[in-house]
Amino acid sequence: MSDRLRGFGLSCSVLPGWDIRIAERAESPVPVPGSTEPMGGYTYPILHAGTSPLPSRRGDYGSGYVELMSRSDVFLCLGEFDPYDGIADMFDAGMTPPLRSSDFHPDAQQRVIPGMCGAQRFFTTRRRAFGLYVVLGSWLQRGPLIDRANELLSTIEIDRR
Amino acid sequence: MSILVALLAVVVVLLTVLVVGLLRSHAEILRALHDLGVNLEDGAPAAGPQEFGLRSGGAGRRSPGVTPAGTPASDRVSDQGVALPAAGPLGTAHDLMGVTPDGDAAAITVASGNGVTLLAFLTSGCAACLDFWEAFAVPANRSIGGPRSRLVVLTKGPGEESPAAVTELAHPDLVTLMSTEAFEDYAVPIAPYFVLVDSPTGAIVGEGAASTFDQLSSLLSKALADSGHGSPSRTRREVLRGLRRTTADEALEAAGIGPGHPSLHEDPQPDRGGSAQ
Repeated sequence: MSDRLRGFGLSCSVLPGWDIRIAERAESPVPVPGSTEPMGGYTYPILHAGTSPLPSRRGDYGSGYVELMSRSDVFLCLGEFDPYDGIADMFDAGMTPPLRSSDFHPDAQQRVIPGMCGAQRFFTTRRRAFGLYVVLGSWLQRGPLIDRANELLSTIEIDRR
Repeated sequence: MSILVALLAVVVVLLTVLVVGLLRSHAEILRALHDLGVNLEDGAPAAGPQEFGLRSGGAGRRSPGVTPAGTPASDRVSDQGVALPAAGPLGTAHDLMGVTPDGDAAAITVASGNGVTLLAFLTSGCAACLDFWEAFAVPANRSIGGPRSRLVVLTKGPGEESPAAVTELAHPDLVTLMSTEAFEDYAVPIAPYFVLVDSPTGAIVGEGAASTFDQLSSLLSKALADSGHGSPSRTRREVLRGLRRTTADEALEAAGIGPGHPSLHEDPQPDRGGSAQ
């Protein structure tokens, strides 16, 4: 069995204890009236990884999973944006460096769950724009959880589109 | 003297009540254990290695329907076309990697979390598999291994299976992975085939074939009891009461008698009232 999971120009190592999906939602076959753009917009790849079983139905930012996380769980989401979005100042150039404790805050979650915390970064690499969103099951015991997230993050590779 | 005798009689009565209560409690525990597949009676066969219905009980003794250890997967099929497990140690689980029917890349760790993981190896074409596809469309049936269990359905990869056919059969909420590697890693002879994994340790606690969902349910009950997962984290009182209540409800339901059934409101002896008048 190969130890790397690949899909849609993204890949990462399959580390023990991680459930990982690399997906791209189907675009609507119905165009916006007067436009060629699909209803709901274009879709881009997204990588989800969790340290407990991922349910089949999940929101882009992990809804459906983060509510089930235990204090020892980590959720990592790497979602691609339209390349033109990467021009914005909020996107840093180059692959994002390892996460730090100061990146995390309970209010940085999409929907605040007491006791947990999140972090979000935006970056561009290989002419592609990405948002990295990480949720930790415990704000108080985030140290080892950040290490675990960084272990997976360090294995992520992004191909040029 | 008479007071002493009276006190002694009271003590004897209290002790008798205590002993009867203990005996009754003991009987209830034995009954509950028996329902869970544990037999503590003298002369009962000793618990063998963890089995999944058809596995061998020990060295040199081979259960019917089990092939010798080391038999190639392709040869582990009965004359009736049913998959046969091989004798020997059950081994440890392998993590899974493949694609979903929608084409997403997926890696699923089996040795993760609490409870058990049931791996269901199915195909889109076999008639026996249809029963399982339909059963797993019902949310309650996906917890066949208990409330903390996880179900993963596996088919062969897109090179040997039609993703469209699998998409049509697999409920959207069902975790479905297409992976020929998984069939090879678990030496699956033919679908349908099932492997039960103890998630915290990654140990395989049972494997075998079942031709219907009901049969799978029965086999799982035994495998779960053998592996210590038969009684989820409930108190003794909950176990004892819950088992009896469930059994009675299930028996009534099987007979087609539910809440509001006319038979529950009829006089069981209609003539009795008439003769009294």
